[in-house]
Amino acid sequence: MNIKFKVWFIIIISILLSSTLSKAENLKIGMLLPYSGAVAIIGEEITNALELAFEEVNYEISGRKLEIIRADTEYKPNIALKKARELIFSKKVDILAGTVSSSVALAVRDLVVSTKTPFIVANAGANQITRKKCSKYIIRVSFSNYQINAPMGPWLANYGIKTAFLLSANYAAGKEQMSAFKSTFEASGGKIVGEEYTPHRKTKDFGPYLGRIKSSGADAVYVFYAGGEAINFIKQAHSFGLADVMKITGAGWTTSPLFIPAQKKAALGFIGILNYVPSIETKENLEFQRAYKEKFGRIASEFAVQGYDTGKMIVEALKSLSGDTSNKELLAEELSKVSIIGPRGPLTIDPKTNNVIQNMYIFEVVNSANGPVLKILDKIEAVKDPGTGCSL
Amino acid sequence: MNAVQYDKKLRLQLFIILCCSAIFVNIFGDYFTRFLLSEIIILSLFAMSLDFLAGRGGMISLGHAMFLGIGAYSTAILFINFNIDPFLCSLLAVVIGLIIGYLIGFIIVKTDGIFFIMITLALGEMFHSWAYTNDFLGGSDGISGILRPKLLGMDLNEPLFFSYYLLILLILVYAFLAAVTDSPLGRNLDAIRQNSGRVLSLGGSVKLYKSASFGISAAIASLAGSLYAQLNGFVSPEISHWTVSGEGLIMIIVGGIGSLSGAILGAVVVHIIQHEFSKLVDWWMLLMGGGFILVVLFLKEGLWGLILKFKNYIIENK
Amino acid sequence: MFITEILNALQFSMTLFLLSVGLTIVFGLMKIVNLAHGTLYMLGAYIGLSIWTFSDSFWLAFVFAPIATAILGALLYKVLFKFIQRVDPMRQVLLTFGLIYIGLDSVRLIWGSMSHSITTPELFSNPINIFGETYPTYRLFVILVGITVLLILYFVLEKTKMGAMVRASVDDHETSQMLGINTEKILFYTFSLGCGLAGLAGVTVAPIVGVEAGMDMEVLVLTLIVVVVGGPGSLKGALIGSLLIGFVDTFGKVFFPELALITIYAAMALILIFKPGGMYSRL
Repeated sequence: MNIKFKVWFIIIISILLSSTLSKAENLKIGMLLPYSGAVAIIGEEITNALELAFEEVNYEISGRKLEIIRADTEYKPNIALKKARELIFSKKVDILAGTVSSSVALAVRDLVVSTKTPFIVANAGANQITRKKCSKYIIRVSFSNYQINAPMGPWLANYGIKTAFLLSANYAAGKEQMSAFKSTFEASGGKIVGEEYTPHRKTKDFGPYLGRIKSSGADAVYVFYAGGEAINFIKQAHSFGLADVMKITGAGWTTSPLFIPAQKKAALGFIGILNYVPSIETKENLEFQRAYKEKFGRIASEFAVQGYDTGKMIVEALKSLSGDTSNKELLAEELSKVSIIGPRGPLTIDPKTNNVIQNMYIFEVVNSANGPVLKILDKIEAVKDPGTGCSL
Repeated sequence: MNAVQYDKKLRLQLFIILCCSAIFVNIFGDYFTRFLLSEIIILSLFAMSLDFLAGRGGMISLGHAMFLGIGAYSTAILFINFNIDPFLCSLLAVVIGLIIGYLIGFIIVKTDGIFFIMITLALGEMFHSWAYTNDFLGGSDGISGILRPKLLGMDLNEPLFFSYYLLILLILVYAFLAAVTDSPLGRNLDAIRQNSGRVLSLGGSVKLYKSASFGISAAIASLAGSLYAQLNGFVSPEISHWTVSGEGLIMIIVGGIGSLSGAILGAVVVHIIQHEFSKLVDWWMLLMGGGFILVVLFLKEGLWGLILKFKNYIIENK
Repeated sequence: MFITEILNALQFSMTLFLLSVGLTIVFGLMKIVNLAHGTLYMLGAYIGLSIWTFSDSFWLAFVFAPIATAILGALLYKVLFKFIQRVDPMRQVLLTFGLIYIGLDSVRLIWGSMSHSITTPELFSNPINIFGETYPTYRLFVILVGITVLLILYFVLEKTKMGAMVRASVDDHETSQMLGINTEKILFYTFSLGCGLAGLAGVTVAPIVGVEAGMDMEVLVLTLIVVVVGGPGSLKGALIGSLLIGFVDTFGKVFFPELALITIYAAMALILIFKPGGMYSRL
């Protein structure tokens, strides 16, 4: 046996040994998020903040190390499902967390339920995840599309808006958000005078739609956009002078802290609703925003908060089990029992649906010395999703 | 378009080596490796359909993922809405793909080169957009709950059996395409690719041959789509996006166009590298891109060319 | 409302024109399908973003971003494109696909994954009133940029010796070479210019459509559509294609919003079925 061979032999054996050793001890959290491509920023925000929550306990619970395993979903359901399989079967993760997109969450739904893997939904908002397709292994700490938009109907009607024009991207989430608002707005006596659904992630120029909206004569336009589309819509609506003839309102992601730095003054006057705004003045939020800014150099967005709360819930649940994850059913149950006060306020999981019960914040974008900020106009406490069709 | 110089014997040798390694992996692999193997076999089917179209028919399609979509969605709808046996669903998906492919082919084969690429792109994107917004097809969320067939008392929902089932289909499709390539149709296609004017003046029906090959290729892509839906248990519009066709083309160029086995090798290599790179770093696309450029600059006939050179080198040194 | 829509369509057409004219002439000259053309558009926007952030001047960005992308194009030509002329188109596709991948990740590594935007320059920040309809002045500026480039290119291509040499090389590469035209040099300059124009398009529309990773792919498909619809290889084709696609897309969204995703594809498919070589082809 020559020396070279011996060296290789030793290296290989030590790698094998170290990997089996670490396997036996770590608590593994699989993160199923987009880390490449156009939506990577949301994956980064969620993971950053989750790490922040884990750092508070030094990545350790009852002597077991917390280990984060990242898997890039590329924002595609089929890739995500493959990565989920790898996380569950090869990496043997204890808990799966993540998915930005609803179609990704729905794609992995059957897999996590059949393998009894606790799955924490940290963003995806499709209503059916905690309705028709609910499961005791799926716990949603983010929101349902209905939950966010429904309170805005009566609120805007009360605010003096009588007619509204709906505008959003043409995909499942966009349609769900609009129909949630529509149902409660109409129930409060409002009237929808028109609705338009733009090609999802392909609309760069809202010019052709803005003309129609302007001439519709509505009191307000109610929109939902995110990412580049949110930036472009707000800027273009401003340049066409839309705010001169109607109020611009919508789901709050449209002016998320991630997009405001690019929208600048064009965002002023927007009235939105969301489960979190950075200007909440509680000690939990101030402390969270300070820590986030210190580490990542920017204001934490609602996505980051969802990631942080996901991390907190994992930590709390594992603590109460003293780090014992052998019984997955118990782990899922423990996760859904956790109730915390996070940056967005008190959070509990609805035992009927496993969807989070949380506050909604209605805000207006106003100017400040540091540029536009979200000023809270109203807070609606303990909002639930009706969870129609779910039996746990 | 130049197809690689193909050597029938080498084509078969390579194919046998690939199949044997698949069986090896399937026996000794764990649950996830078997899943990955199944996925690669399905992608190989798709790559072979593109390879046949490009290598024999001389047609580059940037919309072929549409047929993956047609196969996957028809399987989903036939199974979920009409309760048809999953195996029969796949067969029907092949027939549907063949018919739609032949009809579309009949209209579009008169265009050539970049125009053909763009017209296939247009059709593919129209299909994608339609699936993305159509409520019956589940919109952007797609359709889930698709099950795999039970054959000869074996439940293919068990990954070990399913990958064997896929491997058998791969061998059948390979044998079929190899036979077509060496048949009069294949010879005619070669002639058309090299000089379509001459075939026309000799009285051959260029349009008929080309649309027939488009139909065959579409049928195989549709089979791949159907199997992909069964593998994942769901289907979503992403499967028919034009970048999926683009990735398929990348596989056959890396493998070497026109050699069938090369297409499979390309699918294996590109897919595994992509999967491993994306685990290592977030900027894996940069590495992939660099790899493509190196292949173009230094491997003129792809991996197939490399193997051919290696074989010739061994023969010379014997 | 009608005037607004016509202006919108015209503005979109001019953006498409800036993008497609470089691509179509390069395709005519080199028979290269450069799928990385959209990447240069994206880089133009990002470089513009950096210049604007540091200098706080849109106009510096407007001038220097296209120059930067032109230089980048020149480098790409010398290092890569020179060697893949007249090779199998499939290998060109793979190489340029590789560049798309590299471009996408480079942008993320250099500028991060946030979506950005450039603020409209002060001069054009207020909308004006045209026949009772308010319209953003900056969009009028975009139309102006497009028309200026069109006129300059028309003059250069049709009225100068250099232009005549370019046209000759597009029509018949070998003969032009025999006649002593330095086609290599022409290729080099045209390619760089095309990349510069893509960068110009990127920085010009950045105040309207923003700056983000992934903007290259959407534009790539649109640009390719314009090129084949117009017929590759000619200025006129690029113009006709841009106007056609710009108007079909804009008015499609106004009159048949539910078909917004497919109108341009359907238009292209129909045109190619009836005119397999595009509307106006030099090839």
